[in-house]
Amino acid sequence: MKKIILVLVGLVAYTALAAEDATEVTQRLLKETMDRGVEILKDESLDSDHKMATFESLLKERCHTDLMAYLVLGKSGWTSLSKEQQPEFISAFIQMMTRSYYTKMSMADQSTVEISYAENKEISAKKRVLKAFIKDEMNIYTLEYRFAFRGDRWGIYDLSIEGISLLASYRSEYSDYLKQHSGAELIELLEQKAATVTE
Amino acid sequence: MKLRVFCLASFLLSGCAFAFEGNIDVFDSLDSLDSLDALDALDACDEFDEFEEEIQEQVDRVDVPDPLEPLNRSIWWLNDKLYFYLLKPVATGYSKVVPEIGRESIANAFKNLQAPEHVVNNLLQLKFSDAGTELKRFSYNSTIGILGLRDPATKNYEIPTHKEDFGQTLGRYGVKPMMALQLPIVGSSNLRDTAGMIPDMFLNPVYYIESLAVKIGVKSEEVVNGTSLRLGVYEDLKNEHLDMYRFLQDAYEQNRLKKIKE
Repeated sequence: MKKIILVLVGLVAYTALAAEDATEVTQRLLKETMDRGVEILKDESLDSDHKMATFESLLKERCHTDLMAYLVLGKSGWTSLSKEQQPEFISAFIQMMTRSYYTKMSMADQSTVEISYAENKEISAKKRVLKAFIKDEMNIYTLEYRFAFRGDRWGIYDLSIEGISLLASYRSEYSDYLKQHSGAELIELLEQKAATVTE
Repeated sequence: MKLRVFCLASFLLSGCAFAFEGNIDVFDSLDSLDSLDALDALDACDEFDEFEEEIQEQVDRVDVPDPLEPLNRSIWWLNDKLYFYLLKPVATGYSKVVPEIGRESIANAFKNLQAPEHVVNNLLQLKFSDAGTELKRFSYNSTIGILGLRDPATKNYEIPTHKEDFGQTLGRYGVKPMMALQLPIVGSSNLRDTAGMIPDMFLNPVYYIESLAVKIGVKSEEVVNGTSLRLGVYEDLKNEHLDMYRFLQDAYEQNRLKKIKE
């Protein structure tokens, strides 16, 4: 009987340890990503093109950008693209996201922004939600980062700001757009948007 | 005994391993989307539906009927032009005259005036503790914060805010958004929240200013001052999105749903 208890205790301890590990890993990943983002912004040796390129590498490294590109179209939208268009869409979407992330971070006054990490909830063995708060001079915003474990790493696949999900917002727009336009037009438009820099 | 222990351990471990291995297979096949073969695998992968359903669920939850879409889009178009041709130039000029610290103080004072609305709506939702917190914030900001110009409740005392309006109160009691509405100057809304603005109006001290000219002046100051603190945000979002009207309406509903759930 003692042995059964020992085995069970061992299993419970192992599960708890694995869960704790995922909590730490996701939190560390997020913190490192935010810190690295600020570091890139403050790096005076880089011009804006290089900063944007470094941001793109950072996003590819820390997010499941391919999964995000798939989800933003949904299964029907994705399969409506040809095999040649699918990787083109992934690339255009990543560029657009990079531009968006870069401009948003540039607009915030980094010296007054404080980030605190709150709840880190397990959705399933391979999915977690990490809640964080960003506080500036005037407001506190709630952010929710959704992490998935794919292959050998944890990565972000969605972000909600004050309840507004990045993927859900884009999906509504893209599916509406694809009802009236072709996949090629969508890719072209995204590329144009990615090239636009707000003055 | 040894056999029982072995069987139990094997059963548990094989079960865990099976479940774990199953997940790994799915996620491995999804991991390298860069190759076209992996993309093909994605198309046929049923387990991928887990992610698909999660996002679709979020989209469906905020899919509010929009029977007045042509009219709403026209009002959005007017608001967009109003922003670029009137509000933005005025707010830009204003931001050059009034320093940021002054504009932040004015925005704080307007926020402080919303305290009665927050307290009453918290009470209506039976959130007595949150109503008390809002009252506490109001008293701190109105006294130590010099008539609400500063926000020591957040900065020094870290008292969280619990903003509630009548639209949220109606939502809390199960009233659905009913239909999307685009309001002049205000922007995205829905029928429930627009109706909710009426009782909230009576809870804002600005409503009790007798002179109409002063009232319009105060409201205009609130809008221009607020815009001056967010210059560039609208432009950035407009550059990013394919259909700004649709994005604003969706974002509004997602945000309201979050606030009602809290």
